[in-house]
Amino acid sequence: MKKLESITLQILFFFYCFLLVLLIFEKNITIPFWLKPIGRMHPLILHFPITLIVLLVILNFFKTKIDIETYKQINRFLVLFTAFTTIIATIMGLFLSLESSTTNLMNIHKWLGIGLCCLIYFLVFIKKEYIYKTVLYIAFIGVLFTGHYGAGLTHGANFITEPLTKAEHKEITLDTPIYLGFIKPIIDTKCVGCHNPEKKKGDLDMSSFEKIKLGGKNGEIWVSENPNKSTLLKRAHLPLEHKEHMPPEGKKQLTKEEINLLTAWIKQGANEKLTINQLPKKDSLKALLTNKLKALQKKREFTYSFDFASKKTILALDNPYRTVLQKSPLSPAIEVVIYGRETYKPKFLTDLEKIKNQLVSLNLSYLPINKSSINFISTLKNLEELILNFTDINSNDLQALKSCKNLKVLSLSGTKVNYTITNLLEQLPTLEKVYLWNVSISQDEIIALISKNPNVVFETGFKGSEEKLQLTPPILISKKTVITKDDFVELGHKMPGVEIRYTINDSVPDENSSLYKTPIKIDLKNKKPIKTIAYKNNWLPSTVQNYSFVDKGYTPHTFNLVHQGLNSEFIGEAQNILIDTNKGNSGNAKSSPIWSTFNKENPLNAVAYFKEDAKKIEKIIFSYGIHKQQKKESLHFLEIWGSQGKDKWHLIKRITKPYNMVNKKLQRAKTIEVNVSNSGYPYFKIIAIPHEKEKLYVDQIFFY
Amino acid sequence: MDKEFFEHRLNVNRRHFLGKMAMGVGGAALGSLLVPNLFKGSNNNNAELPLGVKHFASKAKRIIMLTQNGAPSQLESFDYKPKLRDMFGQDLPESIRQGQRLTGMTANQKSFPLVGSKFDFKQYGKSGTWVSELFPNIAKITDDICVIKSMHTDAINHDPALTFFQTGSQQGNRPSMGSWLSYGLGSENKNLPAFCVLLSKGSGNGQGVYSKLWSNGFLDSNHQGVQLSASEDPILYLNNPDGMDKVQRKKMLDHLAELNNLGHAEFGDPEIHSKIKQYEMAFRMQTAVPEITDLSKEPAHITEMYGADSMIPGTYASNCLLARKLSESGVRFVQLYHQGWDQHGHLERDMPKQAMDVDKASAALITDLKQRGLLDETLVIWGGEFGRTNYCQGKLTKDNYGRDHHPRAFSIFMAGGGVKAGTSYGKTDELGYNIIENPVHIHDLHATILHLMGLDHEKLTYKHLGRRFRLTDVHGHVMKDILA
Repeated sequence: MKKLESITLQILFFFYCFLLVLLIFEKNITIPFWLKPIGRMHPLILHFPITLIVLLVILNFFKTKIDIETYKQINRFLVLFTAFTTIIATIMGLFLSLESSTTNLMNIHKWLGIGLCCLIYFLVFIKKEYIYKTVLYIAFIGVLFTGHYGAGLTHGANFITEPLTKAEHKEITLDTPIYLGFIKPIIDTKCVGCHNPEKKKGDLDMSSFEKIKLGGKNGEIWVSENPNKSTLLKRAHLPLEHKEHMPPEGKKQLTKEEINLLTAWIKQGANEKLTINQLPKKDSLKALLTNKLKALQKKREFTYSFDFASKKTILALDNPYRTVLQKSPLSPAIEVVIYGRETYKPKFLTDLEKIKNQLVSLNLSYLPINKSSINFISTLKNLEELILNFTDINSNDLQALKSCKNLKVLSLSGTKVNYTITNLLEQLPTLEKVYLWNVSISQDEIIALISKNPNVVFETGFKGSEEKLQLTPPILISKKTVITKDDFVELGHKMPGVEIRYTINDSVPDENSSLYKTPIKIDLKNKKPIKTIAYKNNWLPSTVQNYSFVDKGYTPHTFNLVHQGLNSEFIGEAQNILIDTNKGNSGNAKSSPIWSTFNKENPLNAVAYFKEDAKKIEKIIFSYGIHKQQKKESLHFLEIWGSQGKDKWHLIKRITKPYNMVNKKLQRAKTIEVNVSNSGYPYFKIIAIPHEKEKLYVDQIFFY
Repeated sequence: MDKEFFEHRLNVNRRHFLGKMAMGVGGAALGSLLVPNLFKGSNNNNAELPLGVKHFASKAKRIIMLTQNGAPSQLESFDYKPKLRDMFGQDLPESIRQGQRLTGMTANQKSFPLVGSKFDFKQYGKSGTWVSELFPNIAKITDDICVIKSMHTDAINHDPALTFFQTGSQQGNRPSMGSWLSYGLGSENKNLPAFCVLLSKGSGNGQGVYSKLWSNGFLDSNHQGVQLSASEDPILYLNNPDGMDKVQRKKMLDHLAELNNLGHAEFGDPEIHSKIKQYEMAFRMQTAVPEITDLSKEPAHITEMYGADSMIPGTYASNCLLARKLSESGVRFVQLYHQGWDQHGHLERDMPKQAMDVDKASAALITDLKQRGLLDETLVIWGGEFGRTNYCQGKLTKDNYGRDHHPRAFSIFMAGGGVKAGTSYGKTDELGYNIIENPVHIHDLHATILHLMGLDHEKLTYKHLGRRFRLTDVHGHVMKDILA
C-alpha cells in the first residue's frame, strides 16, 4: 500500500507539471490528430471526479459511523483516486478546448476546472482534519459550478431553462407586433433591470406593456403620438451628466438608433398590437424597421449549410484567367471571376462543376458566353450573385436561370436583354437587385418591371445628360509641327462621329469651313496656322485650336557638341534634341526632352557637317526660350562660324544681346536668324554663351 | 549522532527530491512535445494568417483612390460653416487655435482674419448632405457617398502628409496602402498588376508626386505600384518586336525563366523569382491590356458621363474612366493623383477650375460602378492629404483670399465597398477649426479601409528588421459607425 501510494504521488506530480506547461504555453500548443480522441474523452472521464468528490463528502459525513483506521485507509485511497481522475479529466478538457474557438462560457468552465484540480491536489497533502474538511466542501461547491458550466457548453447555456423561455423566442416577421419584436427587447435590456416587480425604482415597473402604461411617480412613460411629452424620451435626451438622465450614467445607454425607433413608434401611437405590415407605405418607422429586419435576416444568412471545398480543388481551379477564391477562412462560400475575352474557353466555366455547391458569386463580364454557359450556371443552386455585363446574352438564354432559387443580385448591364426578362425575374423569389443599364428596355417597361417585381431594386444608371456639353478640340494625329513640304498633316478626334472643320487662311473656322476628310499638305511658305474646330450632334462645338507648322529645313549629316547640356540623362542628348524637329513652345521652356540647357561654364558649342546640301544652305535659325522664372535675357552672344575643312574657321556673324529685363509681353520663345547664303561651307560651328549665372534653354537649330 | 541522522535525512530528501524532480521534468517535457518550436526560437511562432485570403468575409474587393493632391479646402467643398461668413475679417480667437503650429508661410502673419466660403452651399439628396456649388455633380450622388468631416493628420506639409496618407508613415520607406493590399489579398486578375497608379494635373498650384508614394517599401517588389503612362498607350512596350509572334515570345520567356532559376539556385536572391513572375505577367498582359484599353465596347454616351475630357489621355476624366476599366478587370488598387489643389492665394479664382476638372468625372466614376453592379464591391475614396485653414493667408480682401495648410480637420468622402451610403460622419466646431465629434485619424482610416477589404489591420503584418510592421503601425481603430 505504501509503495502504491508513493507511485501514485509521483504520477500525480508528473501530471501537474504537465498541466502547468500546457497552461503556460497554451497559445502555442498544436494538438496532433492522434491526441484529439483523448481530448474528446473528457466528457466521459469527468464523471469520475464528480462522483468521487461527492463520495468523499458522503464518507466524511459518515466518518463517525466507521472504524477510524478503515476510514483512513478508504479515504486515502479515494482522495488519491479523485486527484488522479481530476488531473486526467482536466488535461483532457484542455486538449478539447484547444480544438475550437474560446467562448466566455468555456473560459469560466476551464478556469473553474483548473482551480478545482488544484484544490484536490491540496487535499492529498492536508493532514489537519478541519482544513481538510473546509477544502473538501469548497471543492464540492466548485464541482457543482464547474459541472453546470460544462453542461452549458455541451447542451447550450439555456438547456435547463429552455422549456420555460422557448415560448417567447419567435422569429420576427412583418406580422410580429412591433412592440414585441423591437420595442420590448430594448426595454428588457436597458430598463427592466431597475424597473421590475421586485425593484420598482421611481415606482415604475416596465416588465410588461400594461405595467408601463400605469407609469411611475414621474408621469407617463409614453404619451401616444407625442414623443416630446413622453418621459422615457425626455429622460433619454437629457445630457448624460444630468441626474435625471436615463438610463443612469454607468449603465448601458440607449443607442441613437434605439431612440429613433422609440420616437417613431410613439409618434405612430405606441400601439401594442401594431405590426410592420399595418403601417402605411411611405412611413419612416416602416423604413426603419424593414431595414432592421433585413439586417437581422442577413445575419442569419451569413452562415452557409454546405461543406467546405478542399483547398486542393480550389488551388487547382485557380489560374491566371480564372480567380477562384474562398470568401474567408471561416466561410465555405466561393467567388469566381473569369477574365479575358480573347483567352476564354468554355471549359473555364464547366470546370467549376467541382465547386458547384460552394459557388455563390460568379462574374463573367465581357466574355463570349452563350446559352449553354447559362445552362451550366443554372445548375449552381447556391449562386447568389451573377454578373454578366456586356456579354451577348439575351432574355431567352437567361430563362434557364429560374432554377437558381438563391439568386439575389443579377447584373445585366450592356447585354441584349429586353422586357421579357420579367418572366425570369418573377420566378426568382430571393432576388434583391437587378442592374439594367444600357439595355434596350424603355422607361415605361422599367416601371412595369418594378410593379411586377416589387421586392427587387432596379438600377438603370445614367441615361444621357440633359445639358449639352462642349467637345474637346481636334487633335493633331501626325504630332509633328516641324515638317517638310512633302509631309501630310493628319487631324483627328477621339470621339466617334465628330466633324472637323478647318481654315488655312487665318479666318476663324465655323460649320461652313472646309470639312476635314483625309490628311492634308501644308504650304509652308504661307506661315499661317491651320485653325480647327470640332462639331457633333447634341454637343456644343469645341474651342478653336490652332496648329502652326515650321519647315524642317536641311538635316546635318553629322552634328556634334562639346557639351551635351546640363542635366543630361543620356549621352548625346543635346545632339538629338537640337535637331530632332521637336520645337518647344513659350510655356514649357525647361522640360528636358524638348530643351537642352547650357550655362557659361558649359556653353553650347556645336559643329554641323553637310554633304551635298552644303551649297543650298541660306540661313541658320537659332531657336531658344526664356523660362518664366528668368527675368532677364539669358543669351549673351551667338557666333556662327564656317569652314571648308575642320581647322580654319571664319566668323560669319556674331550677335550680342544686352543683359536687361525681359518685358512681360516679350515672347519667351525666341529665334535668331543668321544669313549664311552662298557661303558654301560644309562645316558650321554654332557657339552660344549665356550671361553670367543665367541658363540658356535651346530647343532647335534649323538650317534652311 | 544527531548530525549523522540529520545528514541521513538530508540524503534521503535529496534523493527523494531528485527522484520527484525527474517525474516533474518528465511531465514538463511531455507537455513541451505539444508545443512546436518552443525551444527553437523560430520566426513563425505566432501563427501568421495565410496570405491571399481575407481574414473575414467582407463586401469590398477593390479600391479606387482619388487623391486630390495639394489639399482641397474642406470649407469650400463639404464642411459648411456659415458662421465664418458672419465673422469675415475678424481675428481667429486664440481659444480656438490653442497654439496650433503653423507653416512657415503664415507663421509670421500678424493677424489671422477669418474668411467664409465664397461659394454657396446647399443640402442634397435624402441624406441632406451639404455640398458647395463647386461640385454640382457630386451633389447629385450624395445618397451614394459617406462624407467624413472629421479627418485629421499629423503632418502639416504636402510631402510628409501625402506620404503619411499613402503609407501610414511620414518617412518614405514604408509600403504604400496599395502594396499592403496586394501583399495581403494578392492580385484578383493575375494578368494585370494588383496596384496601378495614374497621374493627372490640374491648372492650379501643383505639388510633387513621387514614386515613393507607390513604393513596395520592404515588401516584395511584386507589390509595387505600376505607374501607367498618360499617353494613348497607358502601358508602354507591350507589343512584341516585329517578326516575333506569341509562341516564340512564350518560348523565349520560358527559357529565360530557366536561366533565371539557375541564377536563383546560385544566389538565392528572392528578387530573381519576382522578376520571373513579372516577365510571365507581362506576357499575359499582352492580351489582357488591349481588351481594357479598347473603347469599342463602351457605350456612346460614356463620354457624356465622364465629360469630353475623358477622351484626352492624361486628364483626370480619362484617368477616372481608365480606373473604372482597370478596377472592373480586377485590379485590386487603382491610385489616382490629381495635382493642383494648393490654393494659398486666389482660392476664389483657382479652386473652381480645379473643381471643374474633377467634379463630373468623380461622380461619373461612382455612377458608372453603380450601374454595373460593382459599387458594392468597389471602395472609392476621394480626398486630399490635409485641410485648409479657416483664416486667410496673406491679405484678405472682399474678392481675394487664400488658405494655408490645416492638419487638424479636413473632409474626405467614401463610396461603395460596404460603407454606409448617404451619411455624414464627424463634426467640426462652428469655425471649422477643431473636431468636436468622432475624430478620424489617418491610422483610423487605414484600419477601416483594411477592415472593409476583409483584413484585420492588426494581423496584416510583415516582419522586417526584427519587428513586425503594420500599415497602421501601433495605432488605428475601425470606424464601426460608417460600416453598412
